Parts: sequence; structure tokens; C-alpha cells
Amino acid sequence: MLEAFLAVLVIFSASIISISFSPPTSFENEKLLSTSGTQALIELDRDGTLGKLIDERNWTAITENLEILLPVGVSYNVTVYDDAMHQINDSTIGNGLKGQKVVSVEYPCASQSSECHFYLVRLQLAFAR
Amino acid sequence: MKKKNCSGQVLLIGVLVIALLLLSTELYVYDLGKAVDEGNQNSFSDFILAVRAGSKYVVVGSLANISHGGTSVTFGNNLERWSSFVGSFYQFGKGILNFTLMEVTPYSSGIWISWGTDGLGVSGAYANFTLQLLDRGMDINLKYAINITTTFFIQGTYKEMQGKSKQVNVTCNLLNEGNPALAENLTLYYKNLNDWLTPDPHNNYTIIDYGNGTYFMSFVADISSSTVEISVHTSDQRHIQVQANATCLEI
Repeated sequence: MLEAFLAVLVIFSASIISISFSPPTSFENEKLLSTSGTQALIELDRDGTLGKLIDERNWTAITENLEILLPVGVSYNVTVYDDAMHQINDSTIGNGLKGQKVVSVEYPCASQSSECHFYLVRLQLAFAR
Repeated sequence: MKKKNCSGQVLLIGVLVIALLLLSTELYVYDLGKAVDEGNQNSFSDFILAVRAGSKYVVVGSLANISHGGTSVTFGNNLERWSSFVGSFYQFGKGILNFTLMEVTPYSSGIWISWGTDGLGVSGAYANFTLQLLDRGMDINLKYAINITTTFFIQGTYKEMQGKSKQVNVTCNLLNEGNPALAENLTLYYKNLNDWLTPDPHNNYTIIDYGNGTYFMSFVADISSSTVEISVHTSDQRHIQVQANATCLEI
């Protein structure tokens, strides 16, 4: 009888401890989204492509590139600001942001042109459900 | 003989083993998750990458501007603007980007433009940066240098033809940071009397692009002087202008 009681106690304690060890899933998801977004922007900015596309106001190309760089199942929306924080994209860049939890990533970007324009790219991401 | 009943102890040991397995598995999963999480929390490393890339593009853009005739103060002004821009957008704390322009010869205010007559042309820009990030309990100082150099070599030979006519051959090499680079455009000039002229198809002008930053140009022209002076102007794919001048050797 006593052994059975101890066995239940041990299993119960182990379960309680293991639950307390588990990190919250939503926090992980947010971090994953944030990292994916930043990595996509870093990749797109390789060789100054991102700044060049913004200089050219080529929002379609930015959308196409992000579609490739972001993981499947992620919805996103991009807003581009100039150095005076005025929004400069006059059309939607993204695939329609939908999801319960939205993560925002900000990426400062310089164009390689001789005029040296600076932009802030705000990428909002969510797991599409 | 009475048989001793040990089923209780066996049960307890079994349960302990299961509990240990459960805990060790959870601990392993937790450690893995923590490692990924720590990696993710390093958002400042992504910010550093972005700032570093941006700094490079500002240096390239400034050099392109100056090499096309802009004033050298553009370089410092652009970096000042970039530092201020970066400082105001660090999400997780305070970001301070400082820079110094290289002042060691041959650089002046971070710029080295030398378009000489010895067949070598250089357009370069050099700046040192210090990025300080003050994040919750963290103080990160990162130093890095951005050195952008477009180098252009030309070498010419000529052969006397009939009368004043001369056959001129020119070989050019373009480099970005010491590595072969492609030219955006190439314009060749030769000097006749006091005029700089460009050869055209009437001069049997041909240009061969070897695809590795090496170009060969050839033309035939009437050149009165006994020496043949040439000048080649080009820009790389980053729009950095460079030119080189040389006196051709007779062969």
C-alpha cells in the first residue's frame, strides 16, 4: 500500500517538474517568426538588393523575393519608411497578414546608390492559420 | 518456506526509473529549446549584420558619388546621417554608431582617388566604425572597418603602320577589393596633337571582354606625335568611376 502511494507521488512530482521545465510554445513561435523575418531581410539585402529595389520602388520584386525567403505558412506585410519616417510604399507588400499573434521586425537599410538613401523596413509576420 | 513478497519494491524502483527517464528527457528537450531560444534572443546580432551591411553600402554609394565629381565631404556627411539613422531605430535598447574616416596617406578624409599617368587608377574609401549596443544588462562594443577600393590597370603598346598611322593595343584590368570585377562601361581615349579622341569603327576599333575583369582594345589611328598617350575611363558595377592614363610602348 505504502509503495503504491510513493509510486504515485514520484510520478506526480516528476510530471509537475517536467511541466515547469517546458518553455511556453507561443514565445518560441514569436522568436521563430522574428528570426525568420530578420534572416529573410538580411538575405534580401545581400549585395544591396533590398535598397536597390526600394530605390526603384519595385514592390513586386520585394514581394516575390520574400515569398521565396520566408517559410511556408507565414503571412506577412511590409511597410517601408524613408529616413523621415514617411511611408513610401504606395501598394501592399505581402500576402495578407492573418494570424492570431503578429510579430514585427524592423530593419534599417541603406541604398548603394550615390544619393545614399536610408530606409526602415518594417516586416510584420504571423503564422497563417 | 515463506516466499518474500517484493512486488512493492519492484514497483517503486520501476516508477523511479520511469520518473528519471521522464525528467532527463524533459531536461534534454528544455536545454535544446533554451539553446534555440538563446540564439533567437540574439536579435542584436541581426541588427549588427544590418548595420554593417548598411555601412558598406553607404561607403560604396559615397565613393560612387565622389568619383563622379561629388565633393569629398559627402562621405562624412552620409556616414553622419547613417549613424544618426541607425541610433534612432535600435528596438531593444540604445544603439550608438561612431565612425572615423581614414586619414593615413594616401587617404584624405577617408577618400583615395588617384588617376595617374602610370597606367594605374584607384578610387577608394575607408572608414572605421564602432557600434555600441546597450541592451538590458548588456553592453556590446563592436569595431569594424569598411574599405572599398576599385583599382584599374591599363597597359598599351603600339606599332607604326604606313605614314602616321599606328596600331594601338590596350589591355585593362579592373579589380574590386583586389578581386577581378566587371566594368559597367569602358571608354578609351587617345591623344592626337592636343585633342583627346575616341576611336570609332572607322579606326577598326574592337573590344574583347574576357569576362573576368580583363578587357582588350585595339584600334588604328593617325597619330602625329612619336608617343601614343591613352586614357581609359570606366566604372564598376557599383557605379564607382575610375580612370587610368598611360603612354604606350612601341613594339
